[in-house]
Amino acid sequence: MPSPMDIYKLLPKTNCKLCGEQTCMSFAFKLIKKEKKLEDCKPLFEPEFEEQRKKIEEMLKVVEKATETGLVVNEDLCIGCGNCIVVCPVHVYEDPEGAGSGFGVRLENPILRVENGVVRVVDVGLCRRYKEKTICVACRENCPTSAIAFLEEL
Amino acid sequence: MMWVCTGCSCLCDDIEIEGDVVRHACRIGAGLYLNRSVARAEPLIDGKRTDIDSAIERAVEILKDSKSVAIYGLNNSTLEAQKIAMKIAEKISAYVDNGSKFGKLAEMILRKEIPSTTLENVKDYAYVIFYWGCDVHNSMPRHMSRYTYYPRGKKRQRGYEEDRFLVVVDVRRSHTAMLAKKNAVFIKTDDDGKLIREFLTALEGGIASGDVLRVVKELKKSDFNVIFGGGGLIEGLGNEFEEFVRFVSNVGYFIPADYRTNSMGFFKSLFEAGIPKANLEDLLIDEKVDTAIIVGSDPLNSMPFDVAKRLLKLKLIVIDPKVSFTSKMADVVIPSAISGVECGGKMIRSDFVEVELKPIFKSEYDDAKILRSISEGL
Amino acid sequence: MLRFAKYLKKVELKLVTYRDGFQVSVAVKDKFGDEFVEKSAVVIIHPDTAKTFGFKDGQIVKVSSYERCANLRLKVSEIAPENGALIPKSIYSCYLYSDKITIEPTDGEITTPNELLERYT
Repeated sequence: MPSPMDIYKLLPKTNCKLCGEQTCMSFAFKLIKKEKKLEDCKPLFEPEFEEQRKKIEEMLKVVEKATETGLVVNEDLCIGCGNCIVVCPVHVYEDPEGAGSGFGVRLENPILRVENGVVRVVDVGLCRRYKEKTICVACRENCPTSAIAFLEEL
Repeated sequence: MMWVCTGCSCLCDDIEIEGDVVRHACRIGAGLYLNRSVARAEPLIDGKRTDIDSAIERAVEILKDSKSVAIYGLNNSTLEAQKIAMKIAEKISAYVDNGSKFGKLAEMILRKEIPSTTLENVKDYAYVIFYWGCDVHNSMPRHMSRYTYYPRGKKRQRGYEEDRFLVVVDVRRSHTAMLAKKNAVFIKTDDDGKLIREFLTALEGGIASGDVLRVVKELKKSDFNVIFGGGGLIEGLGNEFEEFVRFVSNVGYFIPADYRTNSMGFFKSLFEAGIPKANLEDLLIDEKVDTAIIVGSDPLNSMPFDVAKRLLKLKLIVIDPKVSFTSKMADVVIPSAISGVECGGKMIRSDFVEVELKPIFKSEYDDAKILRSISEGL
Repeated sequence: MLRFAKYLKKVELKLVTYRDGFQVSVAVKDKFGDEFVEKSAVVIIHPDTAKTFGFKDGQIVKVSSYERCANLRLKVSEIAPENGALIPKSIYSCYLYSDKITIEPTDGEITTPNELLERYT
């Protein structure tokens, strides 16, 4: 997952304000939070910045994968322990005999499910962050290998 | 299709398999199934390709010619296969070792000299949960989510943040230790014996450090607390089990956190056969064996160099589904089935609960059949 | 090119081994593949140790114990003990087995399991 600093280093760093932000650093932050689009930075699309732009686009691919709740899963870092599945308050409520009791989640469309040894996002529609706009971080908190992240915390 | 995972001694029985999709198994277990066809062993005699029956015959010849044999491994074999191995051991007076250091504690559990319980009971009743000298997040990834800290149980309905208290003891801040957050404590120690004595002192009302006192206060809130001990604890204890047993009796229950899939089955088979557990490393140092049958184990990937070097001086018979460092150096290689994936039978979980495997495929040769053929040949 | 690596001193650390789940999953798959080397030929040190002795995450280091040595990839993580070096349990940790190991920068390539196996005979 790229940090705002990683992005900033590749921006024109002129603080030209064309994107509507006061500084390039602030633009970098909003880019990661998906509040700004890369196209908003006009100078970056000049030929002289082409190489840097491509690097940023590569970095943003991860951000693109982020779900509407800002949840990002990095499968390479996941060991498939299922802590996130079992601690999820929605899973516990909707599937007390399955995920709530430690078993594999039995919901047809859970928020998360471990498939082929790694956690996959199935349906964020149930997530408290999505429906109730609650800041719940139970899944991320119980992942010691940082396979789960939330955009706003980066 | 439901599957019982044989990736570690959790033996998770809630795994679903649909073609090439494995659900709920961790990275280790899913990989065991998905990568089953990769790096398979071939029957070999002196490095040359042969057929399985000839390899078995050659193994029997070697065994007949040897003076002193060690049978090593068996942690990935079913109880049925382990029992045949014990019969071979009796027949030719062979030494038997699975490479696990949990033998003494397992025997104490079987003799009921140390209180133990089941993982289902832990889920339903346990309050304070110790992970002592074990990084289960890595060695048995679903241990905490499936059986202990995270799931809700009968008397533990309010979840880990309120209904459990986690204690992680280790020499380093392992991934498991990182999970010790709210209602939890991580105690870093280089001296397990000293920490156990400190706990005993505190339990009797004496002076101890803040963390120890805090844990003791929590221990007193429940009559069901459990200690999971791993390789780090065993190493730390050396041969001094007396204080540890006293500590466990004060706390509640002890369950071994030995990740080796059917290690407890091995100890039970050994115990029932009345065979003392040998230590292959010691046998090699004392030059007491001239032949070893290695079953589903790769000692070159687990034994210190100096000892492993001595192993290579022996006649080596390797029975394994996959190519390993040891199989590369063996005199005879007999390919076998992956227990639980390609052959069925029973195994024993880390808490001594017997589990029936649900193989997805069938294989002509498995550990039990190969060992039976060898036994008959002898 | 200036190679700062050469000016760094050796550091002696206590060896701690551990079972790494990611390493186990590739060992179960294939011990002779590239993934096995990537996950096994690794030595992890604590960020404080790395800072004190000037080691960088990802560099290749020569790890020695007694007369034996192997080149491993250095990683920096808090899972390592402050006073020690952490190596996943595998033929690499077995080969280097001892109480203390020394770590020093090297320009060499990572040692392969086949190279280690040759030293057993």
